Amino acid sequence: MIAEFKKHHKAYIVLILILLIFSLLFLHYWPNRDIQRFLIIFMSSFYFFWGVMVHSKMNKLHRHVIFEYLSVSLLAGSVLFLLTF
Amino acid sequence: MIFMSLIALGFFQIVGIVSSINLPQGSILGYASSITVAQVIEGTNRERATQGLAQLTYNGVLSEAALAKAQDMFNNQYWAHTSPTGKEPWDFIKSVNYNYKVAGENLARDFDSTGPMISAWMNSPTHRANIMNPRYRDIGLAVVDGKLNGTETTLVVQMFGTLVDGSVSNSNPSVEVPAVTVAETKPVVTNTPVPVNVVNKPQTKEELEIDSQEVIEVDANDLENSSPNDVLAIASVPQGSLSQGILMSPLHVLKAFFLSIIFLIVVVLIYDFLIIGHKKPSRLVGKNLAHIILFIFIAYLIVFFKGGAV
Repeated sequence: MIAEFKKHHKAYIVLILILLIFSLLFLHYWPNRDIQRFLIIFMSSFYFFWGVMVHSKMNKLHRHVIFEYLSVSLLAGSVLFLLTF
Repeated sequence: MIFMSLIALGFFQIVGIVSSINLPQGSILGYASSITVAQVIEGTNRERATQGLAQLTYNGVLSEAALAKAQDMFNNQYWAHTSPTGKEPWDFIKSVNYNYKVAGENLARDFDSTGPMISAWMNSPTHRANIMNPRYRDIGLAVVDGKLNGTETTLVVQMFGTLVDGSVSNSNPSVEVPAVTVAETKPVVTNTPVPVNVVNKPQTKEELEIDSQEVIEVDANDLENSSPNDVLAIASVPQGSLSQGILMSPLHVLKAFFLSIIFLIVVVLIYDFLIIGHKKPSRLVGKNLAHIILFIFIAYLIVFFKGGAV
């Protein structure tokens, strides 16, 4: 894992930073559910595009990878989205 | 794409099944909050004290109006300042003969303790405006447990007011605790209520100004001569109905369910990552480490997610 992190450290640092900012904003805007849901949509979209971009830069972008990131971002977003109801 | 759709469909199906399980009341899943009227008043006055505002005085008549409002929400299964039949907050206040010149209402639901609920009100500009309004003198409260939309919850109705000069109102609360009858058959109105603030000028035909600039007319005859009653500021769950079972809110159940799913996924991803690290096969899929990082953040948010609505 550490080797993988070091190999693409810039991409992972961007990912962690954005997720950290998202988490802080998500908790900060409680109890405003509308803003929280907007942030969830933003986070899901960001993760999907982050995955596509990273693999695209490595010339490893494949249909399976796109589906994988789409499903993971949808799952993560859905879990948080359902909590806000 | 079909595979993706199946995953999404399966996920929502599982959530639907879990949420639609109709557990016998009190046998497995029970829920009650620790919110008390005294705590809410103390919390409200503490917030006002930070701005040097006068302490609000508990008013039993206002509390009777708040209790009537809470019972009306359970009986008619709605969550709003205005009932499906068009009944406004000040209709409840007038019905107990509290002759106000200014009044307001805050609502809250699904909180299991007082602190987060007060914080939620203070984080909402409109609710905060009610709490910090220097024109209020009295406060009435009802904390009522019941079933709304098939879910055990606690509704808190906070009513503020100031009597018209010279009016008399009985503000001594009764110590009795009534049993609340709740209905669960009618559909729920799910619009988010915005706190209301009503100004009642002492004239024959009066305009009531609401915080959203809406203006309505109210006949002042309705506000004449109060005959205060003993009032009940708090209502508890009927004895025995929730006495058995685990004390868990629906939010806690949902959190536990989602955390279990995420834990399982993360374990599988870590296992897969380690296996791939050893065997190094050629594969097209993405990066497990990124998914693990994402799901750890999601788990963190689930754990610290605060429920409740105001």
